[in-house]
Amino acid sequence: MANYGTIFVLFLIAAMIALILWTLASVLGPKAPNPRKERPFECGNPPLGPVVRRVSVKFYIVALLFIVFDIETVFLYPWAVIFSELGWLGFWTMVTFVAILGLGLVYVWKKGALDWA
Amino acid sequence: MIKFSSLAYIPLLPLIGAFVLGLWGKKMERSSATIVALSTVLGSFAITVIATYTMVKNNGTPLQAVLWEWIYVGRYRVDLALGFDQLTAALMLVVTGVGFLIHVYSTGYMEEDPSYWRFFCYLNLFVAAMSMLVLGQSLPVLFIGWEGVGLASYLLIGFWYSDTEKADAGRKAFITNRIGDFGFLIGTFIVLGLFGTMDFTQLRQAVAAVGPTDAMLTTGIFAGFSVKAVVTAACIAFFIGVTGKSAQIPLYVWLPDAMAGPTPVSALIHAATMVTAGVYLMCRLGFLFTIAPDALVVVAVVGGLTAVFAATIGVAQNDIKKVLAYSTVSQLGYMVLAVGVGAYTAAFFHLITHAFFKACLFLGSGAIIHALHGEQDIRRMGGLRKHIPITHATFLVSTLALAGIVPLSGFFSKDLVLAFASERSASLGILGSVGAFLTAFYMSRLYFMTFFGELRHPDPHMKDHLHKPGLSMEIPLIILAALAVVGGALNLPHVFTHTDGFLDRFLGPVLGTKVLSMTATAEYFFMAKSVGIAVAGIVLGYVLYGRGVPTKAAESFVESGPVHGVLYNKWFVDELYQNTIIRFTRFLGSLAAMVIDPWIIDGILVKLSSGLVSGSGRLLRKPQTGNVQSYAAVFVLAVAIITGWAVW
Amino acid sequence: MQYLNALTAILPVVVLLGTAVILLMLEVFSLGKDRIWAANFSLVGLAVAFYFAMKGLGAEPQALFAGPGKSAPIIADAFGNLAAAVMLAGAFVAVLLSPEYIKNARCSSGEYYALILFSVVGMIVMAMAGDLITFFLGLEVMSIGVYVLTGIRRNDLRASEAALKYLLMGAFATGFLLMGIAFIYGATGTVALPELARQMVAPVGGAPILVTGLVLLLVGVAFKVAAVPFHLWAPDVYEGAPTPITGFMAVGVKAAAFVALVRIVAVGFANSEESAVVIPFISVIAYLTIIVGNLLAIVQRNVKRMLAYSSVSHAGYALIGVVALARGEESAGAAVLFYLTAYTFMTLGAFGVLVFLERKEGGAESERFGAFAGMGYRHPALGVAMSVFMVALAGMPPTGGFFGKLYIFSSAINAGEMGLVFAGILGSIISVYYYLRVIVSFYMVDVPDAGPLPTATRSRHLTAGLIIATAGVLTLGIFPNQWIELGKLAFKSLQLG
Repeated sequence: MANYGTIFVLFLIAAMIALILWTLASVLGPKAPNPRKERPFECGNPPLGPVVRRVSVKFYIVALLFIVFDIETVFLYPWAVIFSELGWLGFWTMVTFVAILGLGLVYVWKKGALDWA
Repeated sequence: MIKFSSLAYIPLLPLIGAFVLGLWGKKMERSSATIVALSTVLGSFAITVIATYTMVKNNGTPLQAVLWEWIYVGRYRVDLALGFDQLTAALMLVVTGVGFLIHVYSTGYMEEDPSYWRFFCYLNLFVAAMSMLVLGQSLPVLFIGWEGVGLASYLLIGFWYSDTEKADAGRKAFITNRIGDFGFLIGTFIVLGLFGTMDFTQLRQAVAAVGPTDAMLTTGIFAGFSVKAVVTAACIAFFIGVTGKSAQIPLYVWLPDAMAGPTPVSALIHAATMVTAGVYLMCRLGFLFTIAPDALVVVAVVGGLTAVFAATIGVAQNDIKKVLAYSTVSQLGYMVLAVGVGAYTAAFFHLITHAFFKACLFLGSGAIIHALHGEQDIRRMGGLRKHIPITHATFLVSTLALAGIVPLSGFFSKDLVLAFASERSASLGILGSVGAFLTAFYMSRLYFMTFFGELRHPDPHMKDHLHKPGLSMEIPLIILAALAVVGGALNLPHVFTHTDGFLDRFLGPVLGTKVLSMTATAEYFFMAKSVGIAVAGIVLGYVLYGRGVPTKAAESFVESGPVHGVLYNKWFVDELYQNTIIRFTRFLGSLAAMVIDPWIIDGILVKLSSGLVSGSGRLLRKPQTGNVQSYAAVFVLAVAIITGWAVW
Repeated sequence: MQYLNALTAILPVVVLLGTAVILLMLEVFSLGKDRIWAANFSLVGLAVAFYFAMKGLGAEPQALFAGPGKSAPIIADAFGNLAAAVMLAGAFVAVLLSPEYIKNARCSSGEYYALILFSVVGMIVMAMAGDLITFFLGLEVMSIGVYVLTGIRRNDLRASEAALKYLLMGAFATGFLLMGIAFIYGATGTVALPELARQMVAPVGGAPILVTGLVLLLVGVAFKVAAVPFHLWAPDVYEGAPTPITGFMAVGVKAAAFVALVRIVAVGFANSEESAVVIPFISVIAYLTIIVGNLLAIVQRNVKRMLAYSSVSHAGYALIGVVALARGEESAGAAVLFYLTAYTFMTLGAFGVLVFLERKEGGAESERFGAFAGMGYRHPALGVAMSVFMVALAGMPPTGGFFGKLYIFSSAINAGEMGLVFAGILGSIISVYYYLRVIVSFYMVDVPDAGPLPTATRSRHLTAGLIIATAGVLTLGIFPNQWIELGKLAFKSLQLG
């Protein structure tokens, strides 16, 4: 346990610094709230729509697909490093993995997720 | 033990029959329903015969079929196992054989009933359950059958359920039997607690291994009691079950009411087979009862008293089936009496012969009722001798057999029971003799009033349009009557043949042998006395009822007057129960309804506990806000507490 | 070839994966707009997989996909195969319950069945996991499939809410689980179960770290089986999910998590001081789960929600078995398997009846107790089936539910856990109240409107599903011994392997 004690102390110090700064800011900072000041700031103009805007679901789909293939790459790199060590077992396992992903891509494509319109 | 897996088909075939009829019977042709019902029971009978043959060929080694391993918990093991030894063989032949005959008879008796298929469905169900009961190799398996026959009996008594009275009779039978079942279960648990097994073979070995029965137990849940005391308690508990199923004092009241069912049912279930289940159980557990002599005394006394008590009631009944019902109760009393004096083979012998002649009598009464378009009152019968001669002949033979006239089957079996009873104690012997006299008397009264004199039916034209029984009804009658005549040959007395009777030898390995200790002269004298008593009863019956109508003497002594009043009203036992137990229960019920329920149960227990439960439920619901944030907060809090607690 | 050999040892997984991928392809190439083929096709796949799982029962335990000098991530043994068979049977019934429901709910269907199959793949991987990372992978594959299935009725607000909640809470819990695995790795230097067992026997440095890791791992599993106090998501999610999926989730996810837990406890953490420290913690969770689950089930007005809490309480009974197992009582392993099997059939059956009634008697969700008034007379067969399931859930003979509890309790007695047994029996007594209430409303509440009977649109699939569930419950109640012996054999393979 002793070895971890220092880490614990580090955590504690970090938390305390954050706490102290936050407290200081809220205590010392001058405050004079009025309705106009409370409003969201939009380049000096009165705000027009809701603050949180809906983003088209297409973005999410693209983001998802990006992550999927990103992860695939992350898998492929370490695999390539020890490829010879793993032998055929490793090779076929990865082929299966990529094939399933490929079929997934076909599915997504046919489903129309890649059409922006 | 020899493996003989076909045993499973004995209960399975009728069960399949019941299943098929229950599901598709309504849409079936009547003839195909008949084929299903009859062929399955006949199949069971055939397998029983083959099994018996196999067993005998192997020098009586019991057969066994383990269907599946049922419950294995800790050190308790119960297999769903069927066994087949001599005792089983004897009863199974009766159950499936007589059962088949009664199925055949029913095709004629029930032919006009719209629920023909339903009747045979229940009847098949009964045969299946009864086979299970007899074949069961351990107490739990036997109990499945025990409950099954109770269910089938309930369904069949209330077969014409649109008649409230009949439905009530079914319910009465069921509830009375439940009281007995409670005893059965208690007995089972005691046995399990004492010996750690419920299998008959292992129990027998365990009982044999018990040393002196007076020794105190030092371990187990019965520590501090002697083996004898515990076994006696178990046997009494089982006997309570027997009084329910085999209609003994005090639980016999359901059997006479059970006559509400169709007559073939009365013959099969309430005379030949189901009601003998209690006797079978005691024979099966004979090794247990033997080391509990005190329990046996109770059994003998209850049996003897039932024999006489029911016979007295039988004297004053006017419903032909009621007379036979009380006669059955009385004869069951003889069987129980025989068990009580340790004469298991004699009990079983009487069970078998009784199955023959009583089934024949019931079927005969069914033929009579059928002929008279449903008339059951013997005061409106008479002179039927000429109209239904075959029924008359078979009825006469069976009556004589029941009365105990030499050389019919009833004579041999009843005489054996009486001889053993009087050897055990003179008073038991006297009880038995009184019962025998009454039996002969009420049976001859029934016989003469039914068949002699002129037909006294209120409908003067009845004579011309009697329903003559068909072949399907007459053939079973003839076969059963023949069996009632020759059935005695199963176990001829030692003094006749100078060798042990067949049944004695056959059942010896299971039930042990017990021989009369009286001299040959004494035995002949005893037989003469028995026959004399029976003849006296019949003669009295003839004198009083010989013309088919009661004579003046009979009218004033038996058919009316205070004695008649008491007997006709069955010693007021129903009223006694009504005014004591039932009223007391009702009182308790209303007490509960007015005081205990609203104040103690509802007020304190329910309101408090449900308040506690639902209150805490409502409290526990608080964190269930629907907010994911608060869920996560609870989650983190719990992890923090648990981790903190686990680490420090 | 090593790879092909490895694949033949896990044929159930291969078959399922193939079926699911083909289903997806067929869906997008639109070879058939009649949706019933998708159900039938996945049924065939599940049946074939089931066959291979049962066949795998007899095979020797095999360690598969091991890199050179590394421990095997997948262990195909009798235990894994038996567990797979149970989960496959559950999925089979769940698929049978689905076609009518998704037709009425108008949700897309090809993906629906493919997702079920993918989830089952994850479950089987969990049951066969040889190390904690593979266990985690299986858990995620299963969970992601179930997250999507929960929200598959996209136009239903309740369903979307449920899916989002489940996803958020699930991700949250997975974080703890992973943290636990990381701690365990940190303390012992391995995640492979057999290696862990060896490390445990030798004195390990940093015991508090290991204990923390174990606790966090168990928290993750406790979340998946909806054990109190990590159950809060369950009622909302169960209520919002499509009813067949609720059933699938209640039995499949739970069974997979418990089976994996049994393997982890029996193989990885047997007889170590650290795991002994954790036992009281599992006990407390078991106590809480049984008591809170049952108490909350009583106050519910909605049958689906009641069943959700009841499934919480059943997780508690299974946890009793885990505690007994952790105490070294070997019969508990088979007892838990038996319990899960019985639970699978009775719970799916109950949800199946709900599917039937929802569809027919209101179109939408009609789940209040009152909506069931007199159903026993309108649909006699259905009434009988529901009574069987309720009686089984309450733990009465002659059903599998009775023997499941019997085995669990008797193994706990052998392990000396009398307190838990007492709590379990108390919980069962409480549970009788709300289970019988369903039967009461089926039979003994007057039908409010004795109008014309609704025209019965019979679905063969649904009927078949209910028949299988009823048969399963009763078979386990009448022939309990065969299954428990199979469970014992399977559990033995776990210790040999």
